[in-house]
Amino acid sequence: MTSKQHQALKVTIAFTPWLISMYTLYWLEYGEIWTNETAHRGKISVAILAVGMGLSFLIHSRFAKREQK
Amino acid sequence: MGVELQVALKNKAINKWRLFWLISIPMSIIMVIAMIGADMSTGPGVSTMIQFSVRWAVPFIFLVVAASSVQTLFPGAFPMWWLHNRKYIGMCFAVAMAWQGLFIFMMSNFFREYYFADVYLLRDELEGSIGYIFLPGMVVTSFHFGRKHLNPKQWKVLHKSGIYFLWAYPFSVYWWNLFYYENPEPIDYVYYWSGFLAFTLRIAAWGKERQQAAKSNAPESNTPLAFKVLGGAIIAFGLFVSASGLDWQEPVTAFLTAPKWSANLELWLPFWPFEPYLSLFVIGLGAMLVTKTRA
Repeated sequence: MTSKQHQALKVTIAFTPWLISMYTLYWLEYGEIWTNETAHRGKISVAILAVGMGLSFLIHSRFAKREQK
Repeated sequence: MGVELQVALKNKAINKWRLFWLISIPMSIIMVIAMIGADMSTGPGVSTMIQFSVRWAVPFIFLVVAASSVQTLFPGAFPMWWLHNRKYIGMCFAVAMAWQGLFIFMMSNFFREYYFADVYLLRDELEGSIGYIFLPGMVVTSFHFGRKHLNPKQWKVLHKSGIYFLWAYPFSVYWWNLFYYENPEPIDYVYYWSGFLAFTLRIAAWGKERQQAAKSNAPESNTPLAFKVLGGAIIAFGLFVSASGLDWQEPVTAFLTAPKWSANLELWLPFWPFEPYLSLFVIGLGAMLVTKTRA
């Protein structure tokens, strides 16, 4: 695997939790698992996104740290 | 004149926290006055305030995006003042966004029915929420107590991603206002072209730095004429693309979202399939060619 491919793979892995969090919200809405009346819907949405973004950030940091070593 | 400007720009009243208060206090007073004038007991009234507050926020994020590029391209007293105060200009953006956040909170909590019937769209909510997650992270890590928890690389990743995302959102909104919705307002043109200019300056600054780095590594190197001509033509095409969205948006969107997987991504992936940014991508490609050197 070339270094560019390796880098692309790392970026893809790092972005995965963020993508999953967005897809989860899509799935909840289009699968009609939650409705407009669902309690605390806004807060739960932000929490799901924040967890996804936070995990992506941590994975990216982990890769960057390993690269430095 | 130059010396006078330098002295004027060193005035404490227009630097750092005083600059922040100088902008954010009048801005907040105007916001309160506008609130008194708007009918805050109705969904449309709150919706007006959401739009009003975002129009205050957008210029500040464009100024933040352009700050370092202007200093790279046109070094001088004013660009240096601009760059030195970038953090405080960013804080003014955060204040305007906090007002908008308050109005969004009011809308989604007190006018839920109106919100879901007339305002809500999943992808818009995703884009907006992501921006609002970046923003407090960036504000907190702009101070020592927050910054000490991140290493320099993490700080850079957080702030660069956040700034680009917070630029990308309003830029795409004004692009769609101009090239998709009917009857754009004059301010939509001003904001679209300001956002475009802010990012184009970044591309130009990147090109200049790239060329300077190549020259310092190999002083004899230069860009072949063919690259210059081709790169210039690609940049000119990018500029044409940036101004002619009305002519190509519909067929290009149809083409890019023709596969089922792409049409599906459009429902939840922010900005997909990136129509507003195609012109900037083309200009970036041209800049890459124009600044490609050979020994």
